[in-house]
Amino acid sequence: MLQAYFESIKYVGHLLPMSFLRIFLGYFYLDLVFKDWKRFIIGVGGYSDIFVEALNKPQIPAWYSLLLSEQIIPHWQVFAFTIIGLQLAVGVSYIIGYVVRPVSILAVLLCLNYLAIYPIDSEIFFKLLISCHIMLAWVGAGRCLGLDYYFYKRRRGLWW
Amino acid sequence: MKHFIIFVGLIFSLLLSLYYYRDDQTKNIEDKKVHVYASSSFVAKWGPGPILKEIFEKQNIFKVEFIEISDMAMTIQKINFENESSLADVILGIDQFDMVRVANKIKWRDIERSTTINFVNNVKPVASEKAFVPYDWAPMSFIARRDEKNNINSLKDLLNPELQGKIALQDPRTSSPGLQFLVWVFESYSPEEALRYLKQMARQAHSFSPSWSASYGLFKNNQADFVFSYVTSPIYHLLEEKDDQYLSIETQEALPMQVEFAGIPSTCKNCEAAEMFVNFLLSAEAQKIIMSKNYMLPVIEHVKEATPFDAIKIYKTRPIKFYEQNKIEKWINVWTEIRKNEGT
Repeated sequence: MLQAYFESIKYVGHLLPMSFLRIFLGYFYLDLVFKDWKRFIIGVGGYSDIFVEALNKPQIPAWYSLLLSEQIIPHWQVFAFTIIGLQLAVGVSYIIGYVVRPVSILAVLLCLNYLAIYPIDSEIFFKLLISCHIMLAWVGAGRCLGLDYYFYKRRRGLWW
Repeated sequence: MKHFIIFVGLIFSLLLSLYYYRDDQTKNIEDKKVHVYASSSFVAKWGPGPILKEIFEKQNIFKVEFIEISDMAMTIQKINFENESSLADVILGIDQFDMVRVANKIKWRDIERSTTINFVNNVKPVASEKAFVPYDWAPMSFIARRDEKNNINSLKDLLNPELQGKIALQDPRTSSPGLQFLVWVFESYSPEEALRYLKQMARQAHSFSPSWSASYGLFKNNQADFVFSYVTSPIYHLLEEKDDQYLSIETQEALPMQVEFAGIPSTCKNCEAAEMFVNFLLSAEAQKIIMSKNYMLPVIEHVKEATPFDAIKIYKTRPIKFYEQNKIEKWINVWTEIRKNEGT
């Protein structure tokens, strides 16, 4: 597996710049997880603040506002835990380059959620992030400097 | 697909185990902590928060952790949905409007006063509130520079044509002083007169800033000659900037006043320590700190004696009143409509 990891540079070297973007995004998500996890454990700030702000955000879609008040807020800890879990999955997957394609789709869904709950001024950042995830999924960024190359060689298919 | 599901499953299992086996030590530390939610001006290093924390921690075994809040309504909403998992032990900065508009969204614990306190007369009517303890107060009026020629003796004088564009006010939807001004107008005039006055004021004012600090900034930068603020504002300039050029204006209409309360949500984790902290706020020592750092008046008698705050002239004030939520909303709606139509 380790051999395949480095071998990928030789055979899919054109994806190397994409791998740097992927690894950086992985680091970004892991950093986010550490911050959010700390807040989640000590119970100060974090997603409870973000959900309340989202509820008071005028631009929030009506259906999401309903979902937020009826489902998410009454079970906010479960949702906060799920978001942190998904962020961790994206972070680890991007860094080791494993199941990058399906995880990118998860990341897009996460970003759509951020778009709805975060203040309007961060909208452009999350849109950029969505385009990065789509690009990573499109090119199969886990195939270079990632474990996906090992599985791709053996199994082929859309998942790698 | 199998790989993906296993991978995500593993990640969540890892996170779950981390959650359940987190260090119990943190819990023990939390047991001795009082979480106090307060505004940024209270928590800031130049505010009363850090000194109060230091003294309280010296006197007690409990540690104080301040958590900065920006908006009272959102804070209460958050505590409401966090419910039992909320960390809030004490909430500071609840004013008389917050008490009727947002405070009823959560349950509050009755606070036992540890000693008999001699409250100042202006605060006495609200000092018997079981769940809320007043800890500072100040009348509100217009502040001007001494060199400005002003013949303002009443609210109506503010509509003089020469003052057009020179008055900095606050938005009552987002700012407590803004709401104080709005209520002051409605309480001083009949509904029709108040409507007429507000329409004229909408054209007369320099701006309606979203916060007190923004409007005060306009005044400080000489963009406005008058600002609606606390009568204690001139003493701030005198003590901090050695500038005695500011004065508060007395009007024929009795001035509104803002009282800030402390409350303990019923979901508090460290309720006894929270009560101790609230009672500590009513000690002469804490009151002096709040007065000198927050630039608000003490709620107990004799604290400001022999201090520069003793020189503040307390003009005639309106007795503090808790308005019905509907009434406040109605007044805000009237103001919003006027602003929409730009005073026409």
